Amino acid sequence: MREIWIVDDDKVFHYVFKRYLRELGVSSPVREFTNASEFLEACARNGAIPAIVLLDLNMPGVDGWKVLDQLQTQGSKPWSAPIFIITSSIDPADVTRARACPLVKQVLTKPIALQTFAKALAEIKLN
Amino acid sequence: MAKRGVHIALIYTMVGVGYIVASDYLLAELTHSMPVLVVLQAGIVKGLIFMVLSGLLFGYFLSRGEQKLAESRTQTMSLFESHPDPMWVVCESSETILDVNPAALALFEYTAEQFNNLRVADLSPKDQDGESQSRYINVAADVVTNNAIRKYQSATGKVIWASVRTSKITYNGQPAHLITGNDITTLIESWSDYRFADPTILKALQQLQLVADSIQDGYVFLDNSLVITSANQMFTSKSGLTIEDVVGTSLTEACQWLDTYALVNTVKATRETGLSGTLEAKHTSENEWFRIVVYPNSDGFTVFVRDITAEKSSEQRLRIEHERLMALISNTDSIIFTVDREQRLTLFNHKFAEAVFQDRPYPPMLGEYPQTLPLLSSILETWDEAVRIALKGQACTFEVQLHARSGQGRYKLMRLAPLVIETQIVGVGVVMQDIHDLRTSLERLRHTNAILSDIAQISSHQLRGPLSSIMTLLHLIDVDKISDQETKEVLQQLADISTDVDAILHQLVQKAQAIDA
Repeated sequence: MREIWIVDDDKVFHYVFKRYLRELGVSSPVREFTNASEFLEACARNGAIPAIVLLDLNMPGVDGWKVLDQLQTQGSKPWSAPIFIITSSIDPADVTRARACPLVKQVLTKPIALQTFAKALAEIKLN
Repeated sequence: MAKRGVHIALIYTMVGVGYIVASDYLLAELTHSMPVLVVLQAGIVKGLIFMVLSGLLFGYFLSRGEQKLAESRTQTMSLFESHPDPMWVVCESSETILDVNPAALALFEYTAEQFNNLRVADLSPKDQDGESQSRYINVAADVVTNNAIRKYQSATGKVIWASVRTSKITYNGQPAHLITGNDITTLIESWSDYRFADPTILKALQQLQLVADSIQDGYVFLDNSLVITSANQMFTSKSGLTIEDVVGTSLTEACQWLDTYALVNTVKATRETGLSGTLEAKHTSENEWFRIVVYPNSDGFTVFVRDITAEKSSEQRLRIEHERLMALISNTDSIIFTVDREQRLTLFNHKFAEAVFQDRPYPPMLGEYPQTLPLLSSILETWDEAVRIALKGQACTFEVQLHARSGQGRYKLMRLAPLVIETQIVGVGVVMQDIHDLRTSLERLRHTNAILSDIAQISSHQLRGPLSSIMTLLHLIDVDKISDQETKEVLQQLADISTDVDAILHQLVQKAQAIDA
């Protein structure tokens, strides 16, 4: 069973997403990253591909944009896991830019209700 | 004649000597036995015979000489009288007419008696004083001149043009001039009448006439006394006169509007330098302008008179347009100037002069190179690039900072555009608009915008991040399951306040984005 990766500097959302997954009956293991560097290291070290990635854009240090750039330009194996952008930005330019990235499955703006989250994951087979 | 006289004298001497020798010998042979008285008588008879024979011989030769002289005089007079060309004899000292032939009488329409009472000056047109005739005779005193053309007047006032030849003779023992004239009035007055001319000359004349007719300017030929000797139709039509009217008059008489002093000075200068001279004059009553160009030549001067009224008129219009343009470009805060293709200054306004004057104690001058001025010294590379583009036919704009020596640098918007006249790029027009204050304000505005963008960024991400966490957490609480009414109300108010704050943040971000746009 493949993992669900959460990349967000705000731990509140780690808690919220884990609870939502539980309420939705998703039993996939969750792996949590509070900064993007750890996430990128994990990608490079393991070569493991998660089921989905919940990625925040606005993080200190390496932000979500840099993560997307790096995943697009990384070596021989193209990134295949769908990425859900989780952002508190209400700038339409951010939303447009994120949607333009081919790795991004969907953009969800915080705060995210359970129904919104459930609808976003509906197309993905997680269990 | 002298040679014949010598022959006669020689024959007479030889015959005389032979007679004396022969008669003396014969007398000696016949009388050697005769008495002395007879011998003396025979000698007297021999002498008498010699005298008679000599007298007869002299009488014969004298009579024959007189006969020959009479014949020669008759022939000469006949030649003079019957010559088809007009001929007359003028006394060198008194300039009175001494003799005239019938051809001259016919030409001048005088009787012989009238003609013989004239002076040479009387043959000239009535408006001339005859001085030129006298001068002509004096010049020709020792030589025969070739086809000099003179103007005369007949007894009835008819103008006569003649090609005259003069030779020095002795008439009745006094020095005189024989003048032979050939009437060329018809030829002079009507170039179309070519009956008298040689075909080669005719062709040359026709070609010359074509050239003369094609000249759009009026022209006249003047002698050294500034008297008109010839003129074309264009000249006479301008002055409202005929060729006959103007020939023989002075140029200032024919063109009374002409400033005599200026004309004489110009003519004098051309004579001294050998170069052409030009003056412009206005025919005030007709409101017309003429350019008079004087060319000196060996016989006098050739003068071309060109109507430049239209040229002067457009010159005047151009001057007015120039004044308007100067008023327009001077009534602005921008520096404006133009340069030609060699980058020499061709026009500038007061602002340009002021800017140059700040760096040096004298104003700019036309023909000066602007890139050598301190004003442009700090932007030479940009200037060269801009001029290069403009001379290729493209307008261009550069933002530059000009450093006046006496003050701080100021930002200018420098626009260059090609100056085109009839598809030819003749130079570059330059406008330098002062944008220093505008640019400073713009920089302040940009700084303010950057701050606002930062605020928007903070609002969008930094502030809204925690807010969205609170709002998401509130989503997790099922208010219906809470029994405590007060807690329920507090949670509901928290949710409402979070929503209000979120709405405010949305507005802030939207306004910041509007500023950025």
